[in-house]
Amino acid sequence: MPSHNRPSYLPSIIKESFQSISRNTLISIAAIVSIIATLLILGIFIIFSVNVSQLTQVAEENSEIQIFLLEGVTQEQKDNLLEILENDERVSEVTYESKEEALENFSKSLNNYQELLGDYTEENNPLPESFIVKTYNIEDLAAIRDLANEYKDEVEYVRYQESFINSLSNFTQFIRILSIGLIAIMSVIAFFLIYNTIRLTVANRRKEISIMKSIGATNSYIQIPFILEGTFIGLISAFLSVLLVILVYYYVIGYLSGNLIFSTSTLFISPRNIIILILISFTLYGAIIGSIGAAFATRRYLEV
Amino acid sequence: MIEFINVTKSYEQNQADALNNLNLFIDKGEFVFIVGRSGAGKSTFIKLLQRELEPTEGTIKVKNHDISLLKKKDIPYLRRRIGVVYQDFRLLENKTVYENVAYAMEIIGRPQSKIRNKVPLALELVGLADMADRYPGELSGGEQQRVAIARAIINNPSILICDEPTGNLDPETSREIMALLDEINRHGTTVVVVTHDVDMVNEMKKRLIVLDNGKLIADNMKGTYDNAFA
Ligand SMILES: Nc1ncnc2c1ncn2[C@@H]1O[C@H](COP(=O)(O)OP(=O)(O)OP(=O)(O)O)[C@@H](O)[C@H]1O
Ligand SMILES: [Mg+2]
Repeated sequence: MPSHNRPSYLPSIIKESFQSISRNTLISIAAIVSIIATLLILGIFIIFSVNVSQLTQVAEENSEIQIFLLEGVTQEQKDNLLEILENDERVSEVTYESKEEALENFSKSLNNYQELLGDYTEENNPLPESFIVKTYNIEDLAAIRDLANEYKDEVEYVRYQESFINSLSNFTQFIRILSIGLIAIMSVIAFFLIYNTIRLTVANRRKEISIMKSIGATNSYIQIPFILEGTFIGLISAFLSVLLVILVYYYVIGYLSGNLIFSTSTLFISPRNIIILILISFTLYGAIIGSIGAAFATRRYLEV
Repeated sequence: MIEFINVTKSYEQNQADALNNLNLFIDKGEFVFIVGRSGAGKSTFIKLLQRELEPTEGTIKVKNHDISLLKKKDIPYLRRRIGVVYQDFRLLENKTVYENVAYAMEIIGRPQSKIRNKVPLALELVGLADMADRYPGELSGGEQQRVAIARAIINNPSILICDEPTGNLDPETSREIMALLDEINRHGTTVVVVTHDVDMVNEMKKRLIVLDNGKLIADNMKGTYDNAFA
């Protein structure tokens, strides 16, 4: 009697799903590509949202107005204005920035391009002195701005950036709706491609299925390889998408930090911090759309 | 064990009945031949028993249970109790002989260790021990037949049904298959053999049921085809 020391027979179900994927190469690839396309949009959306929420947070934490003083105001005028600001109960912090500090800070923020300012010295420094005012609540910034604007003998102008926060959140809202809409439409397409892939497999194996049924296999037992096949397709797509998204993100950040005047390290979240989120959400999405598409595709054919 | 009560089956309304008011009782442990011309309704009988088809009228009982009362999800369990060797064998083409037989054990959740022990024994019983790694396409008709028998008996069903088991076989091989079925019957399995191999029936001298045009026209103990109509 021949001995049967092959591996184990249990993985035969898994073997079958792979065989079947390789039999229907073309439509399997179509399904994979459509899932990847969907996940790329999801990836862009995730990266965008995470960055914007970081940006919003940074912006909110740094919400301040800067009151630039006229050239030549006296120490007395400055002290007087400072006292008024500090005594206002809405104000949390007032910082004085001298002309020299202004030049120094500006030069720091220019990163690799400091030589742009190389010609300026203390004598011809064009930057004005200023008070940087923070409030306990962002909403009070506007009132403080109006207050400062009343001191026309001391104040040149007030920099106020609340409108930036507002337009940022409007933009975010727009991107969110756009992405959700796109992801929904693409998911429907991906679902039907998986559905058809598996339906084709099921149709190819109709005879086998009827044999399995006639020797007493339950529907769920027969369904397992097909659902595994759908799940495999989903997972393969998910892993390819993770690679693609992370590579692209690395590339974009690398490109931006080499080309932007301002430093990107505080502006963008590092890919390392985002990879887990992307990996988990993509894997879940791939597994779910793959298995559900396959489950729907097999259910109809099994009603024999 | 198997009971047909006033069973009628018609496939289409304007067509003659495939089975007409059939009454039949087969007891536990019996060995029964069902014979009849082509189109007599023999395969229909098997499909009804497995609930691949529903009777147009009448009641079918297996082990005293009316199988029309089974829920859809319980049908697989009925089929596991009835091992069937089909007229067209119904082997899985992309599985080896070993895997075809093992598959019947896998679907009922037997552990791999049991499968590895039992499948070679079944293959030895049907005389295919050295063909375990072949695919059905690489076997002769008689060898495929024996794979189908091994698969049908691997889970110790209480009923074994063979549709035309000697259909395309030479007398020598037919006799071997019959001896095998007789052996299986002696171990307590109820065996029903559907055939139009009259010589075989006459040789075996078992209970003989004759169908014609969907009607039962004879039912003799130790019958031979020649005296079935006497
Ligand atoms: N699916 C079907 N649809 C319609 N008529 C059918 C169907 N299956 C069988 N029949 C008819 O029912 C009758 C009985 O068929 P059945 O297959 O039971 O015959 P049989 O006795 O097994 O014949 P054979 O010895 O050739 O296998 C035949 O007249 C056949 O044409
Ligand atoms: Mg038949």
